Amino acid sequence: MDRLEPLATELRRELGTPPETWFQTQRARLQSAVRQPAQRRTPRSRLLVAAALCAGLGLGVWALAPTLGSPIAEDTWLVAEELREPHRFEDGSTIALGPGGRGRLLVREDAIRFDLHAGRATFDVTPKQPRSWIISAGKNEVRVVGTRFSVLYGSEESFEVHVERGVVSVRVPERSSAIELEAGDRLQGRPGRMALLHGPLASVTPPAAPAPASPSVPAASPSGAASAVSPSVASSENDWQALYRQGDYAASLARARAIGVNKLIDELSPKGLAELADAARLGGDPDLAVRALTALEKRFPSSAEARDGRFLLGRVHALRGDTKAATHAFESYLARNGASTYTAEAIGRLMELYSRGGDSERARAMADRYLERAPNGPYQRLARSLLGRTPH
Amino acid sequence: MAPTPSAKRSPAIFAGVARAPGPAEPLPELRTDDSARLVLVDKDATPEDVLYARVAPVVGRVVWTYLATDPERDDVAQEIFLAIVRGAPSVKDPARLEGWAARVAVNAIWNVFRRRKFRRWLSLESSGDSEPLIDHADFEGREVLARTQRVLEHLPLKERMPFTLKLLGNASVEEIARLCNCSSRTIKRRLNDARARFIRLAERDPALRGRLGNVSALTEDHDG
Repeated sequence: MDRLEPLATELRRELGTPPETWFQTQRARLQSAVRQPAQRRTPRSRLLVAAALCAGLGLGVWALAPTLGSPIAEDTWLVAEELREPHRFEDGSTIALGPGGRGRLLVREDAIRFDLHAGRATFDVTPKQPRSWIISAGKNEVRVVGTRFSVLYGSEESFEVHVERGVVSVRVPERSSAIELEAGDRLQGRPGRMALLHGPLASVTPPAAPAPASPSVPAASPSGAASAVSPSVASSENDWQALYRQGDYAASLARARAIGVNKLIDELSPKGLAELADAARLGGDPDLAVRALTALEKRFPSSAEARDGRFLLGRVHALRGDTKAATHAFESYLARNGASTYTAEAIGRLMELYSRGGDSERARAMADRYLERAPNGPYQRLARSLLGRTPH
Repeated sequence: MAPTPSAKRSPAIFAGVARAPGPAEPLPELRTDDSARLVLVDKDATPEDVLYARVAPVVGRVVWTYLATDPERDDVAQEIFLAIVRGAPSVKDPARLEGWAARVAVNAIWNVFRRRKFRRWLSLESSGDSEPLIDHADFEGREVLARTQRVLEHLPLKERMPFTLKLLGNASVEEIARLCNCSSRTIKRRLNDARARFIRLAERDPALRGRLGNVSALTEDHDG
């Protein structure tokens, strides 16, 4: 066995193969380039002479000139655990990621492309965009004008688009033409098994049962819902949890509110409270998240959910900009838990909070502690800079 | 059923690629050696569409192997596709189109790396080819890939090009020799040199060091 084999196997797995959308984009670019009239070619000998004349001057300029700008203005990976708030563009458009969500963002002058690799991403695109927005998820592609919608790309290529506002155009491999989705529409399923849901039920249907038997996209019934959906499911009291588990936090939160948050906070189990807090945190209601986490701590102080809840409470406070409460929550988490799930992250966040607050002594102490525990972790650069060490 | 000679394939990166149709196989269907993969194009496809359907998988794999995390990846790929479309009429044997396209892609990327190296040398830039190393909380695999690309950038190009095909593409020596236009013997020598250099550099990186196999416990399998 080769010594490099473990690394090579991991690298090949990570590398994968080019997605279909990449081939389609390249093909479209190629077609457009081929259609342009070919430039008249200069004889090679003349080129060589010109090159020789320019060489001396060119080399000097080249050495001094900055690297020519790439047409890509931004090329970044968005990872849910690193995004403390939605990724915001200068025109006000945003991308938010659900737990486990990750994808690559490519920003060009004329287009924004987001390749969703996993999880749910919610897009709020400011209307009348000068740039086109394209979201790819596996072999599916969503094109946007100006709207708010979410895309889920999950295990076994499960795919879902839910439009809250505006219109989007979706391309799936099964159909040669694009599917237009309007506000309230939901397209969901897997390759070969897609369902389109219109109307109010589209926003409450549990995506756990996404695919009707039909091999293609069925037309919506006049009543407004695809036939595969059972209305009784929507009325179940637990469906907010089903929606939460599918990553549809806005719908989950709306359903929880309809049931009554006070009732839920009083009656839910530790796990249920943790899920409610998550749905609230990720669905855009940090106040409710704080209430649920506080109730969790109060009602079930020794539960595993309450232990992690202290850390999550710190995150929610940080999200709301309440630095003092966030610091207190992280300190409390570390004081009570010793080594557990979020220890490194709690230390990293405390280091950041102390540093921002000008408490450099405590920030350095946390930096030291952080590097000892996670020398290659996401806060290592800040930690090293605080300690005056060279980053890796 | 015993495999036919044509079905015998190495675990090479270009194994699944459609080959050119023979005279008895009219377009638009293109079959692989073992007829397991069928590439279809629309009835009204243009010659460029057919050409693209044939070469895209080859070019895609080469580009992905060398430039997966590179910010210029898509632009370089586009240049390669254009070069192929413009140069395809010069290919005398249509059955060799895919092999020719793969070599065009490797040469184009070789030139990109060479230009970058030269530019770095002139401007004393220290930045690498691949995306800047950003710490991702839960994106370890991507970080390992980025760190590996960084290490590969330190290899001489004549070693980096074949070694990347071996490490990331799992290509055979014969295949690499064909793509790099060298003899198998030369490729074996370069692979061995690159391998030793790569391990030496990777051992300095904490994220890569832990992923290298144990020297004493494992039998080394050199390409030579």
